[in-house]
Amino acid sequence: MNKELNEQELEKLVAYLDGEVSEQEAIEVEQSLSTDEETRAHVDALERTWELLDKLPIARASTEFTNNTLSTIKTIQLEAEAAEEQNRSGFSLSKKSQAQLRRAAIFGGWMLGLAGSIFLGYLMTNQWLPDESEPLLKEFSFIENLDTYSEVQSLEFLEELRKSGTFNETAQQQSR
Amino acid sequence: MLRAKGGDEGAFTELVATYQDRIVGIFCHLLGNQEAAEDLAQDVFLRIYRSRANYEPKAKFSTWLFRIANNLASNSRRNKGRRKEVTLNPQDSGPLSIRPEEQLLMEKSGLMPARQVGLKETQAVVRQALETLNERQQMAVLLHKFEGMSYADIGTAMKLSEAAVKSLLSRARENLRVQLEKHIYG
Repeated sequence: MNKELNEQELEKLVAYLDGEVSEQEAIEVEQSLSTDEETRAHVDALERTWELLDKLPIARASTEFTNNTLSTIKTIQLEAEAAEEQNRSGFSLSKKSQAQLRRAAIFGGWMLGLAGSIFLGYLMTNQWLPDESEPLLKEFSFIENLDTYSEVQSLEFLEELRKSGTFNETAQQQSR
Repeated sequence: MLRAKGGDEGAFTELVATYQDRIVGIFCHLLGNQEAAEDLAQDVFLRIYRSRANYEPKAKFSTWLFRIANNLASNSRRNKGRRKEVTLNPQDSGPLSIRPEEQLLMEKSGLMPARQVGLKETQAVVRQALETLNERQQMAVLLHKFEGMSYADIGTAMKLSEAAVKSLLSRARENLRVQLEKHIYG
């Protein structure tokens, strides 16, 4: 096998052996083989090599393969269905939770509204109802000096003290 | 397949029974191990079962089947490579061959006829030659040799052009010729 075939020649020869060439190409290959002994030997070697592959043992599936395969597929299918079901129920659970959350939100809203109403009511009643301590606060300074005022007894007496200049003398003494 | 697509479970069972030997056979040649081959073949049928509803009879069913088989075989080898697993030597286990020490014992004890010894040796040599091919060349050879698939169908199954299949097979056959040259006239 001295002659080196180039890639294209080899492809053509193999395709010829495989019955993958056109009629025209087949004629060309056959003409070439009839005149070229080395190429003929090469093709012969390729054919014999191919035939050697027939010596390989033919493996077959074991007798339980069909049943094993079908039961595996069934198991996987059932598992997938169970997982899908679980996903679906997981989704409705979250919907349930969402409903619970919505109810809680509504309840919270009502509670806030109630608290707001109470506060508003308090403010309103505080404005409109008279406060008993308010007059006392207004007169706080008077009440604070009530004992002093009680000692004076009458306005006429205070008028006489002012006219006599007693207040001015007292003020001058305090400023010194 | 169309009946299986329509939900006919019996049709799917028929389909498994019809193609299981062919798929397991191809995987046994590729992986050299019956158990691994059957596991992978099961995956092929599982994939077919899962995608049966979307199946469109655009190409031959067998082409689609071997396309899935080719994908799974490639993934399996890639994963094996990633895990840096020690690949099983087909000569060490599996139904395709017997262990060398067992063979030696049988030969010594005279249990194995000379013709059978010759066949086992040839099988081992051919297997070794096949293993020298790269993954794609192996698959193309197996589909062509054992499934009788055309270049066009192999191209569809392996996602390759016809020209690429032609080139792949010519190189594969030449490699095999080089590897087996000493044995072809024996």
